[in-house]
Amino acid sequence: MPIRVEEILKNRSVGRMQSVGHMQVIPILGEDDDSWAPPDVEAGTSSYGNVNVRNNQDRRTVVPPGSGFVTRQAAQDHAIGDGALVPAGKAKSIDHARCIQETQGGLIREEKGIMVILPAELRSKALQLGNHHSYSALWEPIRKFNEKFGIRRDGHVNYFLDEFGKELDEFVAEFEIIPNQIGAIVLIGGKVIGLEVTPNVEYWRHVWKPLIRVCYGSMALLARRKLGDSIPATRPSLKFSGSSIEDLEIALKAASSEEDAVVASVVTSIAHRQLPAAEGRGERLGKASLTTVSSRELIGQVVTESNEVKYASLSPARA
Amino acid sequence: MEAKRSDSLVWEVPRTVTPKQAGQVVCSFLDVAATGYGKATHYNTQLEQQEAERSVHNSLLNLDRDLYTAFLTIPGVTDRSRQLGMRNLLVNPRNGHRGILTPEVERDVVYQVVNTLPPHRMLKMFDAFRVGSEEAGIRKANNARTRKLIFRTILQSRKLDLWAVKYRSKMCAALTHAWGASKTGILRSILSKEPDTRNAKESKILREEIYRWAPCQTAARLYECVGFILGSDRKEYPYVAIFRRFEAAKKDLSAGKGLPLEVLEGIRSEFHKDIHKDELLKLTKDTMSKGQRMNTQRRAKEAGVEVEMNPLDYDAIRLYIYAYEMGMTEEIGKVLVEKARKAAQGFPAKYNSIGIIVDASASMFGDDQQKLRPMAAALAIKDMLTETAETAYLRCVGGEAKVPHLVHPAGETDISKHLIELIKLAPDAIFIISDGYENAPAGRVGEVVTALEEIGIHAPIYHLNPVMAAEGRNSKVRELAAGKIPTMPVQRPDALGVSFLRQIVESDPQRGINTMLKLALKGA
Repeated sequence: MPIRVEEILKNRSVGRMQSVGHMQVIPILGEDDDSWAPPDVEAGTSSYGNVNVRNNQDRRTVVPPGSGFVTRQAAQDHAIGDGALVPAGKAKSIDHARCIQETQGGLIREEKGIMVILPAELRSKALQLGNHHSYSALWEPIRKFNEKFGIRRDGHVNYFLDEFGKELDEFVAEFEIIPNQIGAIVLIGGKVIGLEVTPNVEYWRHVWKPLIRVCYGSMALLARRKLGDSIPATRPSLKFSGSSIEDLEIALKAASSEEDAVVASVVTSIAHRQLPAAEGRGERLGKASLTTVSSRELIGQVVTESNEVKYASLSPARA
Repeated sequence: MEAKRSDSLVWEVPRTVTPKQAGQVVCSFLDVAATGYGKATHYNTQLEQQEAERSVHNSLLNLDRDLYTAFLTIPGVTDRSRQLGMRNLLVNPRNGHRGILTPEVERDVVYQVVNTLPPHRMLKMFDAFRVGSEEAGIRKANNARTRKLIFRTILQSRKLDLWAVKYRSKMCAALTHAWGASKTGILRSILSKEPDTRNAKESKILREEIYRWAPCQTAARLYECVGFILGSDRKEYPYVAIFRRFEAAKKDLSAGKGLPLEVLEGIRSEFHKDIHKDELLKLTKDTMSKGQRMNTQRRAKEAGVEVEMNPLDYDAIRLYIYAYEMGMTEEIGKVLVEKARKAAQGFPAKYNSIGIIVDASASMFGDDQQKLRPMAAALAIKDMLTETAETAYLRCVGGEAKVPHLVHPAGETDISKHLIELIKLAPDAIFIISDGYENAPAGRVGEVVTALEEIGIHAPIYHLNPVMAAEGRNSKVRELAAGKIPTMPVQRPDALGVSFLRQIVESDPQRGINTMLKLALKGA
């Protein structure tokens, strides 16, 4: 049974759009479900293509799809495609992980704080690979990705992170979390490219930086290269032709109203979208169910529990 | 500080650069020197910040060494910039450079600046000279000038005995660096002997290596201090009471009453593990430093020990950061007003009315290394500006009232509507205190200012930025509306005057730089 986007947005509201350059973020607000902990996990590898995640918290968590583990250790960075439900105080082994650092050997000793979210293009590729066992399957996509940015054509995500670290950090500063925010709709060049919903504010605060910085930030960088300094149509400009401060006030309010209308239009345009579930993919943890979904535009995973969507992370199917 | 009495005190733009280029170099330096802390911000890593700082310092040093020297003394320049500056001046010899300052004046400035640093920063700088410090962004320095600086600063200090107890290992490292390991070993050995058993040669060595740097001190007391620092075997201290207390505390902790808190804590943890840490608060509550008094308030409260703290002893930003943690009190509120009034006295302009927009969006929280500092700085600057005008109209962008009487950074950054509200009130000037990251949407303030210009409204609008961002143009602070609103870096309220003068440097470099030079020469 496909999931509809409006189910993901049910009982949630949206906040005011933030716009910087080509990227725009519409905050999603909602109530907390504190039965979920943020994905503050220790991660390591026990063999190439095998990632272990350990949740030492007192609540269950969901490790986001497309999570990468980038370490300073002399060890090979890895990433997962499908996310993972991890019970409180437990560890989980993911045996269809991918190496994302082609020429670096070594296994990662379990370590905290090394989680990133793959650039959107690579995240989608990782999800498409599903449970296919091949630790090197992402190398060629990484090479092509790096080539787009004019950096060394090797299967190393860290090359991209090192080269564009400063630019990526800017996105973190430019987009601010607002009170009660648990998710976001992300647009690049006026087009919806991401939909994120998390169980609570604490979870959102934990994943926002990895999402905006690398996953969506990579798309914004690419957009800047292709589109230059142009502003998307979904960022209304201030249309002023008056002659007084009162006229300016009216123009500013009109611009604000136009932004609100854009937000409403964006939400409406995606609400009806259907996201079919991928066959044979997914897992359960108690009443919670993690499902891989995919449409022509978006691919990602959704966690549902008692007919409610608790978590959703969707990025472009073709970035 | 007096400049060399040469033909004139006027600085002239060198032929190798244009006035505009000279202005840019000076402005970049002021931006960094007035806001850069060398720590991570919300936006940049520590390494990026430090690289940006070094580059800017080197540019001004290369432009004119004497200008660089003088500008290190300007009010508002951070301790960190002064540390970097000292290193640059010590490592790069004058080599006969002839400029507006004499070598003697430069030397005096160096000593003066070093002595304005808090002792722990001064010693950290000396230590960095010894090994280079990647963390502090300081590279090695070891030459005769550096050694003289270390000897004179340390050995001439009136607080040498207290420093010896508080910073023993750092002082030992600095002095060893200056003397060299071999000579240090000889001195340690001589100082381990009873004074009346030292022979003539040994006494001469002590005079030549120690006393000659600090003839202002009593020789016997001076030798006792150096012996303590170097860890000589002699443990009797007839001349220095604090050393006697130090030794006595090893057997009986209460005999250490009056020793600094951290020293007593070291003794407790080594010799009296059975005694609880909170006992130290009782022994040291009357001798704590100002910083310790503030930092131990929560712990003291929980332990039921009253550690007096006078809010007047702290700058406004620190008081706000304290208030965020411990709560705002009426007393702190009054002191903040008092400090704002005092800082306003030094401000170069007075107004009938002003508008102030304070950015309290989420990014003003800062990074873990400087938690809430941008917000605290914004509030302190707001307070000072309020005192410069008969009437001040205040607006706050974003924020949550989590702590009573204090706004907690939260939400997005939408400045424009507040700007228009204030424009309607027609104040003499409008100040926007913000880190420069606008997102609701980005560029809207610039659009509004353009529209105002079209209407014919040219109200003076200034953007004051308390955060340095390494990715900004020429490593300056982030601009809110480049080309439309002048952006000024402001580290603290009393440095705002410097930021205004920076505007003159930008518009008229020759005049502005000479005005700043006069300020530096006057104040040093």
